[in-house]
Amino acid sequence: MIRVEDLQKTFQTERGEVRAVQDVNFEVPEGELCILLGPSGCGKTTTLKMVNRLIPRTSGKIYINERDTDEYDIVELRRHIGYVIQQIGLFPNMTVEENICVVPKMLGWSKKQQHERAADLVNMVALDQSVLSRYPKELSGGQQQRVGLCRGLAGDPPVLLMDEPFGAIDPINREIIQDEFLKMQADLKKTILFVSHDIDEAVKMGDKIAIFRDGKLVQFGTPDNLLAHPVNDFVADFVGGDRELKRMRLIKISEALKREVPTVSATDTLDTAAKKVEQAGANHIVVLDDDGRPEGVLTQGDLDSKGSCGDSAHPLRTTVQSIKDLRTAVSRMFTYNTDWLAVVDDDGKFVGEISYRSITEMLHASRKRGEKKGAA
Amino acid sequence: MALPATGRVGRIAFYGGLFALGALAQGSGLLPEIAYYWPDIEYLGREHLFLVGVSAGLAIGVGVPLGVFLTRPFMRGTAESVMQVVNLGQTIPTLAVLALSMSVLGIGVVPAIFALWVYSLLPIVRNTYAGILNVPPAIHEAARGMGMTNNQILWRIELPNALYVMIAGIRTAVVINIGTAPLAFLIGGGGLGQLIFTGIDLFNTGMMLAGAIPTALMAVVVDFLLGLIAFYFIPRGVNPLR
Repeated sequence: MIRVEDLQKTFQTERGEVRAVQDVNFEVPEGELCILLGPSGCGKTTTLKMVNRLIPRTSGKIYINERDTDEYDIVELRRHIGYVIQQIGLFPNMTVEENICVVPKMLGWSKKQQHERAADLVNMVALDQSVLSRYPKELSGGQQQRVGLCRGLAGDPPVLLMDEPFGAIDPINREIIQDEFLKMQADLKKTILFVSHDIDEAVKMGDKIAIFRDGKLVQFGTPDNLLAHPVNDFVADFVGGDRELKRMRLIKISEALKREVPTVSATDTLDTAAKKVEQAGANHIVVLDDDGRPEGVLTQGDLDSKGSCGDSAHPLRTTVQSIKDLRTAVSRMFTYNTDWLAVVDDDGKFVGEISYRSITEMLHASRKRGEKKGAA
Repeated sequence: MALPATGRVGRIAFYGGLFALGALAQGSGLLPEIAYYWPDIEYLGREHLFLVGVSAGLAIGVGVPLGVFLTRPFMRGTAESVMQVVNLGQTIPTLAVLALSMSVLGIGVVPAIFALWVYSLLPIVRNTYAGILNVPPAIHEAARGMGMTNNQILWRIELPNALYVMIAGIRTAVVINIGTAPLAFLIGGGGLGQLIFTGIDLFNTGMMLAGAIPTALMAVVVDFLLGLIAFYFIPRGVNPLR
């Protein structure tokens, strides 16, 4: 857990006092990833560096696991906080293994423990064991940042500080590393402060987002809350005019899908199908095979003739998995020019349907809920 | 593995040139003349090496710590002015340094070593200073952020990363030192300068070359040896040669 109380930072410059950080208060619960977000010069990096005391604070307190960071010896404190920076800063004179083991070595681990730790970590970030004996200059940028990540995690610190760790990586590799990192975080459950200026990255990675402006914390909350209810025009502008589209990334299809939809099996007659369609007031019906997988679809025009559903059904052009987010669903609707999709679970079994209407209703309803919560 | 600064072409040119010089020397009857001075060469060469060894050793012993000292945070304000003073030392002509040294310390080995020491100091201090300051700030920040002490940062990060530049400075200093050491003869410091200057005064080309050629060879060989040290001693990650 990280708790920041009344944090202040004032720099003395030639043009007088600059208040880089003013009255910042927030708390990141154990195991959560909090993004410090904002334009450059907003105080987010300064705030981060005050946690491991790379920048001394003017006033205020920072607690890690309920212990005041001032009580720690400064070197001891830093050895128990992982630190990953945008420029990576791998030590060129050391091999990858030596780089990773810098903190374990200082913590007095045995040679064997150090080696095992390095091997494990490299494995975790999907790098080959052979990189261990290489030097940083022999690695690509993406590989270097993965090693940087390993180095930050090497001492198994409860808290991790990351200063735009993926900022210098090309967009394709960045997506991959973000995904890998999220997977790792799901297991590791570190408490993380993560500086970013990229709203998409923040929405994707953060459990919480803290938006900064001119040294002040403007809004602190979950990504969905921020997107649905920006507190002022600055936040609204910063999260972007397409913020509802960004919210769709946060909501799983399983949360928005309609489960009570009529279905028929391939062996049912078209009469049965027609009755079900009429009852539900729908304009189509999904045909399932014996295992409950969607096999095809019948539209109203098909229902006038006689015979079994299986024979008259049109094949389904696409389905979508319920664990995907709403953005994927909408993107697929655009691709196939349809206003609804059959949703399947991990095994390919039909679980319901999702449509434009259900998505817009879902977004609207959750926004209303948030407003009520905000008012209370 | 290719050795530093010895491409195949360079090597062939070197040996070819050496052979041509040898042939020329033998043809003009200079070689026997030079060989005549062999006992002098041996004795004075040892003196020469002593002058160089002591003055360069002291210059390294003082220059490296001084260079490091100038990079420490509390020196940030004054370091540049100190560097200016050290730079000034290099702009004074060698002979003037020798003369100044003699006027204070008299004649003999000690003033000669002192003058050579002053002259070797600058490249070592400057390169140590620049090498450490050129360690990228990101590396510094990472090291501090991971909880390294200032001592650990110096020994494990700054010095290894500055090593290549530092050794380059030491090479320059030692080679200049060997080439300057003959002047020591002028203030009674001995060394191969004795053969060179006496040879010049007597219009005795053989005698002069008996001093000049070993001096030049000494510079080449020592530079090569220092190159070897740099090649094998500097970690691969920060060694541009491999």
